[in-house]
Amino acid sequence: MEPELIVKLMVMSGPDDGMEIILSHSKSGDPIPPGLLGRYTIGRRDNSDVCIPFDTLVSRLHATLQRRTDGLFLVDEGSRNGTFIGRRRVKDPESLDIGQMFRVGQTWLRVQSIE
Amino acid sequence: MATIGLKDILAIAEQESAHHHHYYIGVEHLFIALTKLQNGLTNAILEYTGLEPRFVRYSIRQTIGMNENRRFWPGFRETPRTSRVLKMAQKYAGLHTPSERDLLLAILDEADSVAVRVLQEVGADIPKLRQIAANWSTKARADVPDVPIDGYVDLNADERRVLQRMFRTHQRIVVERELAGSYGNTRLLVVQPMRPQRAEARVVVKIDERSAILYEKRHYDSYVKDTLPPTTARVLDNPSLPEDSPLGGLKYTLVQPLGSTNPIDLRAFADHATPEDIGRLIQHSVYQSYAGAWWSQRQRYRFGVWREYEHVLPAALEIAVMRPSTQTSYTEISPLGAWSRSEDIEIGQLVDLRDFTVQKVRPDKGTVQLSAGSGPEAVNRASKVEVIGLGDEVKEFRRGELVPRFTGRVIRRRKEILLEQAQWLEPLFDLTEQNLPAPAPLNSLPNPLLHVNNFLERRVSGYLSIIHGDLHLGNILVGPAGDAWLVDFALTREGHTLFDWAVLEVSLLCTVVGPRMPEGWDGVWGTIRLLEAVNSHNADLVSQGDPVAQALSPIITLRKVVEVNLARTQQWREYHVALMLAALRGLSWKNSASLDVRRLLFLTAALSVDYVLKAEKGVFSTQGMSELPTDGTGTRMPFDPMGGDTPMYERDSPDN
Repeated sequence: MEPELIVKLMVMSGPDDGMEIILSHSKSGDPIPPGLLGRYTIGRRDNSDVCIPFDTLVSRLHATLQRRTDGLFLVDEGSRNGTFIGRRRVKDPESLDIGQMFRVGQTWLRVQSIE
Repeated sequence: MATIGLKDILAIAEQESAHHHHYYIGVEHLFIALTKLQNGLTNAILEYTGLEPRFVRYSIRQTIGMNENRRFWPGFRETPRTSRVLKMAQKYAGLHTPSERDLLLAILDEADSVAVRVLQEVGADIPKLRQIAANWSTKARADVPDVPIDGYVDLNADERRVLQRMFRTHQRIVVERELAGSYGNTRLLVVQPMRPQRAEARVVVKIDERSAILYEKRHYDSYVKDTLPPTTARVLDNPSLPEDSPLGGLKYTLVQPLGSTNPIDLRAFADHATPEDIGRLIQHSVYQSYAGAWWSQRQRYRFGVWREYEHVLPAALEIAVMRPSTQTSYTEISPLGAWSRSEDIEIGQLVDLRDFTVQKVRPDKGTVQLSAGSGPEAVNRASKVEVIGLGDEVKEFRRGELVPRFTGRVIRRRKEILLEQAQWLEPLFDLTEQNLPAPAPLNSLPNPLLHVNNFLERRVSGYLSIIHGDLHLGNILVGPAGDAWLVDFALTREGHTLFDWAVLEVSLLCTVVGPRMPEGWDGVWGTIRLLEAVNSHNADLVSQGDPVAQALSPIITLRKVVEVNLARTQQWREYHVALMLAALRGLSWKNSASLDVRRLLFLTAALSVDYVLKAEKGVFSTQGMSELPTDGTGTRMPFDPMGGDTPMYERDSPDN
């Protein structure tokens, strides 16, 4: 059996600052699109894999993290207030490295590990 | 210090959190609470390492932003990180209640918090801060004697304190000169700091209202710093913000060799230099040094004119405050929407403003300026409302604060404000008429006051780049070798490339052309005739030996810079829309510009309206200027030929 793929994130601001989020399989139950090893949703909706309920600048489905063979990618899902890496707004899927911070709405997140 | 315990610190942190509608206790709230302790350790070590507690506090607040007033849970819950920090502080305290020092050490050890990230951003060395905090003894604080200030510039007590704090490690300083960029309460000073054995490089110090200084430094760090060309003025140090002072100071360090010389601003330079020299300096030193990093970025940009230019005009509405009442009906005004450029709002109407941001607070006048929307950037500065008659209540407003609801009665609209300003010109014509009678060969010019909203509502195709945002002669410093250095980055932003050049042309009209005009309306009309020749590229008329014609030469040079930055070759409407609005701004300079200069600016605006209207009628295409493109059949295409299919540049939402 293949080892389970795990991505760990940490919330870096807001009321959940310092909380670790472990992503192993998709909570939302959506099938993983072909070509991806995993897809995790970020948003205000309850069943988001990364649920950010208290930030009103986060859209219901704000962004997704996509696990591909060549790394972890951050994709904005047409959010109203944008997804940012540093000051740069994410337009096309962008690859994320361990330790990199990104922002949805007012909330900062950081990639802790990709296993 | 011993009397302030953890409980008090948590209470201050809750206050801070509630003020921003966060309702949780993050490490950032704890740290801000520490910086609010009078004579606390945190403030002492921040100051010792050259960081202003106020600036650190301001930067943290800007980073975390303000929430909507909505509670998701009762009380103030701790974030997971705060729990870790408090546990760590307890470990340091042993059997005692944690002290300020224990808490500070724990915060510095939890490296990932917003507080520590911001500290690093503003230049703190965290391990060094921790070491100093661990070893700090109150005895180490020796009172530093006041630094003597020499020189011939009159300074009030608050201004002296700003300088003394800024240069506290120096032996003495000499305030050599005040630069012409100073306006209102803002002062720009050339300061020579002295060490025992030597004089250091001169710096330029800006002294202004505290909130303006805080804003500029934060803005500089976030948006400006990385875009500056290698040789320019830089803001390297934290601002100086004495406790209990309404003022703050910012130091512009001038990169060599200008720092070793005595810089003057271009306005003072203009008193001695020939107009040709000024033009050369603008083209070679200003444009060519900065173009690569700034104006030559040339991103296609299709924008509503109001977005870039409305903020230079007077407030759209002036309102007198009224308590909200359920008995009356109000017109609701929301930030987005064309209310500020429409003719729909009447004097006396009751309005209810939603989600405006405090932009300026004037305790002396009892007025507050609100701008539409939230967020710090230019888009939101566009539409302004002036609230008058607040009296002592102004003190309740803080710059940058979001005002969810504000009700009042409309006293004046922009139309009336501009009309009054134009009346001060003692015009010989009727300011309500469509056309102003003009001496031959012009015969008549359109009345610019009647075209303001129409110009603001236009959409224009241009270029977007980083711009200075306030490029007048007083903000350009000149070195002995003819180098130019820009200062004052409070308004530097991404914007319409031609904005800077329209503002600079207006400044040239004021400083170089105005003083050379013969007095009275006749002198002004004579100058307008020459400017009309510049607009229609009729260089012959301008090259006569006449002093006013000579004074226009830097403008002819400036227009060459504009020409290569027009989005469409030889289509000058883009520039005249900008120039018209930049020139109308000058009507309000009652105290700083002479009557004739303001008349000149008014008619400059009229001339630009004339140009734009004629270009739309295709007048210039018959002269081989091809002002309007044709579709091949000879039919003229409508204004803005790029059409709606060109994607408009969309601004990234500003960082919180």
